[in-house]
Amino acid sequence: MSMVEIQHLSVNYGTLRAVKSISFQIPKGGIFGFIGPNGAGKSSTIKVLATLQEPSAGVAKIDGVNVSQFPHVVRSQVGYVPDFFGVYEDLTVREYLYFFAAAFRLDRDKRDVVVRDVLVLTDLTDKQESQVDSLSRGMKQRLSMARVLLHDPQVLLLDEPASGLDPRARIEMRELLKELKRMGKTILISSHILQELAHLCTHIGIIEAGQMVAQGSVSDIMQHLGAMRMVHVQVTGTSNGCGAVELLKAIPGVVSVRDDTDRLAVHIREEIVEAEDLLIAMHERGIRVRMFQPEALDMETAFMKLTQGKVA
Amino acid sequence: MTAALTWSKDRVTNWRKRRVSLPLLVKELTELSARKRTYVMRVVYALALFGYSIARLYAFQQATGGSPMEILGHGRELFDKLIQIQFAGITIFLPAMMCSAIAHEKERNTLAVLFMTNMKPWEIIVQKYLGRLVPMLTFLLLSMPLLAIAYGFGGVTIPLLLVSIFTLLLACLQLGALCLMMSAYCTTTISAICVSYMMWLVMMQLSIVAAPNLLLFIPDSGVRTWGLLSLLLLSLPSLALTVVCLCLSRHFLVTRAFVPTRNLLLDVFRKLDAMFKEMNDNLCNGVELISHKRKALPDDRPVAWMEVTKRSIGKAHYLFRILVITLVPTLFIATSLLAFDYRRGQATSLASMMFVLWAFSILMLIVQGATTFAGERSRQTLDVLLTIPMSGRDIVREKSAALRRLSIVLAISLIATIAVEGWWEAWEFRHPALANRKTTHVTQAKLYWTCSALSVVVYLPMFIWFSMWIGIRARSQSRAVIRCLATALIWCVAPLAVAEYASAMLGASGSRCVSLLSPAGIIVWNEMNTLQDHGRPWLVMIANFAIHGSVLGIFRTMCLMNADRYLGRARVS
Repeated sequence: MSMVEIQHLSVNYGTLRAVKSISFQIPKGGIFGFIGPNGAGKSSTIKVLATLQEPSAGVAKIDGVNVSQFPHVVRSQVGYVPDFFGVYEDLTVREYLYFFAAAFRLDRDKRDVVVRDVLVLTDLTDKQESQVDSLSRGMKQRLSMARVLLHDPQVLLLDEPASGLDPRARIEMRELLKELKRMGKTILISSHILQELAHLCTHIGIIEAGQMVAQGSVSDIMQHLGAMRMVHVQVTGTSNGCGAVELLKAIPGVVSVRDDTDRLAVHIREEIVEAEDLLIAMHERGIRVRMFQPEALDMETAFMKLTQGKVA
Repeated sequence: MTAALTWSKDRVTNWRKRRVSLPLLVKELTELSARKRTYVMRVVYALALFGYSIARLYAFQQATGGSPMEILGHGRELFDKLIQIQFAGITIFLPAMMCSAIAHEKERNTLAVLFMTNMKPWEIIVQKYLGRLVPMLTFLLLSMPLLAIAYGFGGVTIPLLLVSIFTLLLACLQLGALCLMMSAYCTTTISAICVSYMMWLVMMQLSIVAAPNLLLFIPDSGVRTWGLLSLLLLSLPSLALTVVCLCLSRHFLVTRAFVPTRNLLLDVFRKLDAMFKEMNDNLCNGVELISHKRKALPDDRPVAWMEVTKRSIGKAHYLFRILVITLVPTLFIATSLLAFDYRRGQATSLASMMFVLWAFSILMLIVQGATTFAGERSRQTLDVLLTIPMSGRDIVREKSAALRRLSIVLAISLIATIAVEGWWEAWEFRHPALANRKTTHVTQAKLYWTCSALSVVVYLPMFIWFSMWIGIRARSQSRAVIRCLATALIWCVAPLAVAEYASAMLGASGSRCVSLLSPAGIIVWNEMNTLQDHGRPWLVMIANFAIHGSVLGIFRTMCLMNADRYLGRARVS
């Protein structure tokens, strides 16, 4: 059964359609990376799941509970970290956590133990008497994580948790997320730090202008994108005197060949011809190859290929 | 030759463009023109002005037996009232428009971007100043047709017309400069507005320093008999103050551009805490008879805990200090005024003090109530607060805990002053010279006490829930406070104004009913001992508090019932 389920969700702000009928599911224990440019509709979707935004249409469910119909039930099941950290004046880390422990109706007897545990998990034990507004950005983000773990929710909604963090804080955040993954939490995480999501996520969804452009497991997406792979080649000539471009175009699976200044950019369909087979085919046709470089397929490339920079 | 001419012409054009361009002013005016509320405010102001004038003319016509010719020669009365309304308009609207000019840039962290441009601090100041003055001047323009009508009726001389317009402009320039200075000095728009209003009220007491007071020194015939030079000399203090304020604005713009926001009251209280702790450690070895540690961590009402332990207006010992600071001078002034009133044989000074106390109390509650949720929004802590599994109703109820405490402190100050005045009333009827008026005074004292007690019990919570109802939906603190203050002012003044000026249309009972819609009416009547003039004073009082008690109930119910919707949270369907 899916822990998070969204079906045809739409969110409108007046005439602006921020989210346009998107659907996805996250299985229990899965980590869903929500990728998209600014203004794509990521935060609006997360806010619907966090009960902070009424959907204009569609259904959002957490552990089978409809978010719109039973928000009070859902609030106990999710932990939400927004993309900013609001400052409470005159509050220590300890008071901050006790405040939310009381707000989440934790038993008084358990509060001490729970607060101590989350402080240890987020490595903030030494800072428990510090003022919240005096913490560094990285520490504030870890404090946010500590807050959402107080009531031990099954689903974590993290809206750009690594945004604005320095490299060290980002690595610490990544380690914390790995720990949460080991604990079996279902996590929906939106981020611009695409490389980090690639290591962490079991599923990704790419959203642009309020619409889901692609979704699935990381390998599915890569495979899908691989079908449109680009190979960069440098040739010194051909053994039979024909033009290299014409010979390349004749190979089955080659969609197009672009003649760049110092190389040829060969667009292939990988389900017909894989990169390795292309090299063999070129050799068989007498093309003398100096350089053969399939384009690296990472998350950033995938993102750039699938999106066009549009906003809702 | 032609090429050289073209080249020099281009250079002159470019130089002119560079010198004359006012990008910030253009941006300010474009922003203002794109806002719906600019037009709404203008229409409301125009409706108030024209509505008032029509009501006034109608009342005058009724009083003179319906003959239109009777009005000729009586334009002065309408003219004076229009000028007074304009001054009131300037005092109300200009601080709200001008105080955000620089403070809002600080709140949005955009001031640094302005400094990075080629504009010099003076250019920023002047363009901001003009950008906010222009809308105010359009407000003044609205009254021109009415002033022309008043002039047409006769009784108004051209010199008087010109002097009045000059004084209005001067008031705009002066108050605008003062507000701009406070906007550059303060870190938030709200603090700039509050300080500007207070400084303006103080300046109004200082004779010719404030531009509106100029009219008091000018004879009816205006400059014709008085001389243009005298007028200019008289306006020199106002002009000088305007220039000083602008210079200080430029100074504060640079020196206080990146000063962090601080809660001065909280800072003072913390310093006092540290001082008392040190004294306690030195004198009593740190023994505490009343410990605050019992409430060190939240219990089952976390939001209320946050409000009463972390806000300056919520902590019990801080509130006690506020009570001592306000109550002692209040009682001292009240007893001094009592002695003064006794010599004159009337209690009007004490009544004036009551009006000031009421205004202060309502202002405090409105500002705190309006910023309760708007503050959470601007600190970006509201979203996290709304994800806790508490109902919106409970959050709102717990949030009002600090306001309830504050209202108790304010109520004590009010009741203390009422007690002094009540005691004066009771003492007065024992005075041998007034023995024959004993029965009347006993009735009056009972009426006064009941009415005052009900005012405190009903009005303070009513304004708490009223300001929370408006503030809960506002996106910024300044917007919440301005909306609340404007609505409260209209609510208090509009029914009384309609009752007075439309009495000819409404009739005596109609205008009495309309005036009951204003919460200010009963306080004024009670303090001025004119409640008896309404025929059946007890009935009027009961009707008034029934209306406002119901209004309190409506605001409270709306806040609690619709809390989730107002806060933008998903609701249980």
